[in-house]
Amino acid sequence: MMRHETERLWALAANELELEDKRYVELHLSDCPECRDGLEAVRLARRALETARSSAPVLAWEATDEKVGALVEKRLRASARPRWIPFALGGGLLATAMLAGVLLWPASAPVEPLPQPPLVEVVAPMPVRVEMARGLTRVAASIEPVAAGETLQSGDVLKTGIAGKAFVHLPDSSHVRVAAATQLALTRAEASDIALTVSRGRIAVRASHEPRQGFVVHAGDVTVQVVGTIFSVSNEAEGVEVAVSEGTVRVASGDEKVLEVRAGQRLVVDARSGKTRLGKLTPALERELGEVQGVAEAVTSAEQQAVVAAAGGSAPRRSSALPRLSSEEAKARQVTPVGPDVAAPPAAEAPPPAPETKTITVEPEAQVEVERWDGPGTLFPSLAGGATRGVPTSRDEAPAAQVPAKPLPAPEGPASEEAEWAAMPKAEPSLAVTLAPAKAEPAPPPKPNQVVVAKPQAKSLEQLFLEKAESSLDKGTCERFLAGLEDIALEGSDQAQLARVLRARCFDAQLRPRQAMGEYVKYLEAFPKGRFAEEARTALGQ
Amino acid sequence: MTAEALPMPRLVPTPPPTGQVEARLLRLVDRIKGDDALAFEELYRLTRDDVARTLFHLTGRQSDLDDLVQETYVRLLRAIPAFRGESQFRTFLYRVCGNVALMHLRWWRRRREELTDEVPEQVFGGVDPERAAQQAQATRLVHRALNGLSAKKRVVFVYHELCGMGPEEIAQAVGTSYNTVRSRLHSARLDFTKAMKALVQAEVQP
Repeated sequence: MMRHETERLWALAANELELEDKRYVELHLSDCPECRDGLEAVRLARRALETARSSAPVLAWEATDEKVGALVEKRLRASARPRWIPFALGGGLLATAMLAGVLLWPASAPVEPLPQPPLVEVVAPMPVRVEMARGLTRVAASIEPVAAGETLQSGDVLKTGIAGKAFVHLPDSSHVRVAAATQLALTRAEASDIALTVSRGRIAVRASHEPRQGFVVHAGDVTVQVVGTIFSVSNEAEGVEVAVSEGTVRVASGDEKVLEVRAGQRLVVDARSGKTRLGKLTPALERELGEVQGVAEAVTSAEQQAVVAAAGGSAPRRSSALPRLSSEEAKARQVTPVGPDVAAPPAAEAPPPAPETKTITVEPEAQVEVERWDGPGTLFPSLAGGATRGVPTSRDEAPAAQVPAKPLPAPEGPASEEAEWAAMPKAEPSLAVTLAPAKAEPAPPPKPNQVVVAKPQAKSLEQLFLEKAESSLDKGTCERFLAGLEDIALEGSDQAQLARVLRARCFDAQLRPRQAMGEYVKYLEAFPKGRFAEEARTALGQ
Repeated sequence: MTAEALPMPRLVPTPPPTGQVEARLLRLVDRIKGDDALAFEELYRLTRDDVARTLFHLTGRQSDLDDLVQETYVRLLRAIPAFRGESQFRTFLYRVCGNVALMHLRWWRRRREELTDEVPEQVFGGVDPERAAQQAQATRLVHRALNGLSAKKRVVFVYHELCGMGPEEIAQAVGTSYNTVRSRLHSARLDFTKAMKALVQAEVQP
């Protein structure tokens, strides 16, 4: 019986056969109707493949570009970070703590009061500061790359690449997110007056409520006047789009018509006809606006807490109207706690005030820590590497200003990290360390050679972000934290576990089980024995 | 018979990308090894469409493509320091794509009940509607037929038939021998043809 040539039919159709084989198969085909049918099926399949080959999937490239860019930048930053920095910082802190211990040791001889350096360096009026930059350049006589931490000024023109993105902190404490492929001019960038011009691309703004003459964004013929709100402006070939997620903006188009765009609305001004169209916010816009809001909140919260922690006071009540301490307020806070009424204990036992006063002397290293923060670069892209003022170096490092005057009783903190998370106040976490007992209850005398180290209580921005993300689950606003959580989760740090699980819980809360399961799978792949492994397995039905 | 009419030898490797493109990619790789983010951005811009198309055919899933592209580039960045230029960069890139796709395929195979036949409605922008409909139909059929292949066969088949890679290049990309690639390819072709025939018949006789 003749053997079918099924296996060589595809090779024949693809012209891959040697001449001899080809002739043999063709001869076989002339006598075998089944193989002829088979060849027809092969040709059909190949035609389908030919058509499918030229097909290209449509992706939302702008969003994908941003995500890839953010992930890549984090990887590059993480690989570039010197490994010795944590050890050096740890050593420096240990030395500082030992020095403080020696100074605090009660001496029989009166101690000469030391001159007090300022507790915190007075913050100068804020320039425009780049908090995060990827593919950001300054357009001048030549194109100059701009890195995170650099300062800008009025008149600078910024441009982001196709996978670029940047966060800029304006002098009035507003935050601007510059999307990919955007050109933005800082027409006026002063604390009292802001004017931005979007030549093309998109910006999202979280405008502060600081008093100022005005905050205006120009995009083509459109002018957007801001009071204090969260909005975005894009200028593309099709027209200008203004979207608002909080507050209200007034939009004036070329024909002097002024429209109000309220929260949840999106106004499109057609470039050709000049007609306006009002619609609802899209999910992508909501995410974008949520991101700038999340970043602004995290920066603000960290700055306020760090300034207060360094000053030894309690955390201020958060006010959305004042997202950032003004320089005057900061100055006032810096001065207040140095006085004996705050730092020194009551005079019941009439202890000499000198030791207390001396103990809050800030060592030079501490000033550097409070003034500039270079880590963790593993935060989320908007903040990594930025010069955020007033943030302690890391959670495990207590600022020198927090070294107590006398040895404090051992804080009754939770033993495990999870318990520590649970114990942390969510609404207003206070980072301040009480410098002395409020009542005249003398602290036990320190043992000889005891090194006094305050319990580290300062939280990193990463932790604050996680806290906010966790609390947002109940409020149903976790969407805005997803991108930042992904960044933290990819870092593989201690917080990565929580970040990954929070993403899963967020998706779960949004009734997106597939994405939630995907997050749990990623969690188990990265942390098979992690502390949330049971939760993940339960969710996956394993 | 003239020389032009002679059949090509069996499974001839497809020509590599032009030397200029490859040289450009290799220069970018050198810069990326020095932590140059802009170089990576350029490399991303040059390769992203190809990566997306390859992942699309390898997995057949449009909805997860965004995540897959991200995962590919994160892995690529992690792997680039180990790239010594012993193969084409394109081969190296396809290897990363293949690994990402394999993981994804295995994940979905375990949850086959959730694997729906996805119709790529918005796949073909910018072409005339009739052609777009033809492409959508063909792509849907091809992906459904590919779903019947094992993950390893699918990778080899897609690389050869849809990405135009030769068997030697595929062997490098998937980390196996030339003969294994040939074997998988032949087997995949038979399975694919059979599946396509059945699908077309089912469409004709609903």
